[in-house]
Amino acid sequence: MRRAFLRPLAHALDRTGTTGSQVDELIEIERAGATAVVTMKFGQTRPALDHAGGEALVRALHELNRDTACRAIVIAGDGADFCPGGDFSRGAGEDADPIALRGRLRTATTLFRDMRRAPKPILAAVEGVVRGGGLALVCASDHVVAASDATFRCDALEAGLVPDGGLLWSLPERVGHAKAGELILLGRAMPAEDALWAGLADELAVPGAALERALAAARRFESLPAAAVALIKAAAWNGGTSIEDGCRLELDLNPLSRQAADHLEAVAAFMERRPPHFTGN
Amino acid sequence: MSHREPDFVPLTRLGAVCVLTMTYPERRNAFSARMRTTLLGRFDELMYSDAECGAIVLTGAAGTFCAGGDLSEMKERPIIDGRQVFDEPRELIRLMAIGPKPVVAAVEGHAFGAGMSLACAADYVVAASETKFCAAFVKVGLMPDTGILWTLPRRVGAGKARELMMLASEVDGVEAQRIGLVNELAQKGETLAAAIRVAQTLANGPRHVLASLRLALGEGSGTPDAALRSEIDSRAVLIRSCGALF
Repeated sequence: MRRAFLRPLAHALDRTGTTGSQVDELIEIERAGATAVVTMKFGQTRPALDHAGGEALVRALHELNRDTACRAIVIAGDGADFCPGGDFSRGAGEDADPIALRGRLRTATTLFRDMRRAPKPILAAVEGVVRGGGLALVCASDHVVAASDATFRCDALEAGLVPDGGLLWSLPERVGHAKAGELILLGRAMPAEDALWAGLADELAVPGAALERALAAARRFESLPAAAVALIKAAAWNGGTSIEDGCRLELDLNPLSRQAADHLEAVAAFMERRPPHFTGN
Repeated sequence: MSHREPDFVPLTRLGAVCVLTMTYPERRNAFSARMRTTLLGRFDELMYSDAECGAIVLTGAAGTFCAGGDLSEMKERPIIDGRQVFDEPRELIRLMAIGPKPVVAAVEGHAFGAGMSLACAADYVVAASETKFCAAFVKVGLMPDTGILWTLPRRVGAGKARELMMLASEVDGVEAQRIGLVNELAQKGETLAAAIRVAQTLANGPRHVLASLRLALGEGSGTPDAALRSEIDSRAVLIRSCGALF
């Protein structure tokens, strides 16, 4: 059903000669205009997000970050669930040696960092269940669209683990420390409506339409002045927590954004009373 | 296609010591785009996916360490691209600074600009008296980069780091050792051998402890509380995983 919706858009773009869709067993990258849709593939043999899945996402982001035709990225699950569970450290030589384990866990932090500091907006299109590393992906996204029957749950503690993938920082950032503590410690499944209230989701969609809504939101994101978006994401990545940090970032980044072609175009458009046409420079 | 091109950073193994040699003699081993990509790949592999490797030596071919960024590659770029140029150096410095294995630099000839940054990111630096260090960035109108804003003050102190970066003054190996930029002096032509000796000692050390120590020194010791937290966080892991005694 989802495919039927995407394909015509991807096809339209293919004709322009831009990169088409790529498929491997872990993820699929499709194009809808200037938005790339990264679909995580789960199934009977691979029911959850594991180490290899995390690495595949890192590779996809790496490639899309360098692709100037791509202006926004949507992450989705391929089936009824965004991410039914899983652990980024699973699946690549289950070695208890602390150095080896640290190396495997690094995938989770690398993915989280890469999402936060990617120069382009990242959206999550959430259907069904979000568990395991999926919650880290949601929290690392800039914009979260959730189906109204989706549920969010942090299940690390029931496995006796500390959450990974940046969640210790990103969940409190989204929902506040009190709520994050509740989600992490009690492992309560949070329904989409509550998630919207708590700030974990940014908009709701009817069940089955999260991707469609996310693509509509991506269209707004992809038309933004790209350099300023990249700088704003960089500022968020630097994670200013004090007034002084905030002021410093503002003063560091503004001189650069004022040199951007898109800023000069915005000024010209204002003076000429016309809508701006941004080129992404 | 690329496999026909010469390897910019060949790897030599001497037991548990891995020697990486920056090799781009036409440009005095400049920190060019290909050099950055190759170095990052090698360090990533050795740090996290090579169980044999216990310590890494970084050096340069043809009697010089690294002349810094490749000015011939520098050009005006869109803002986003200009920032992405730093993606690889950033990851490289993260690996050198907090990856699990010790890094020793053997520095002869020139360590200029990013070349000096690479030397500063090592745990232990061996140089010759004639080696020339220069944080040359401001001379070519650039902000110092490749981690040197963090590594240099930690090596030589805030006042000296300011002087070296703002005036871009050149220091030789003798002066570099006096201020703490260099740990050990060796004869010209002998720095690599000396670096390998130190690396062998490090590779024979308790690997888990050295990995935790590097991590703590790299990112967890900026304040007294952070330093104490690092002790506590790593001690429990070490006791359980390698039977360390306390």
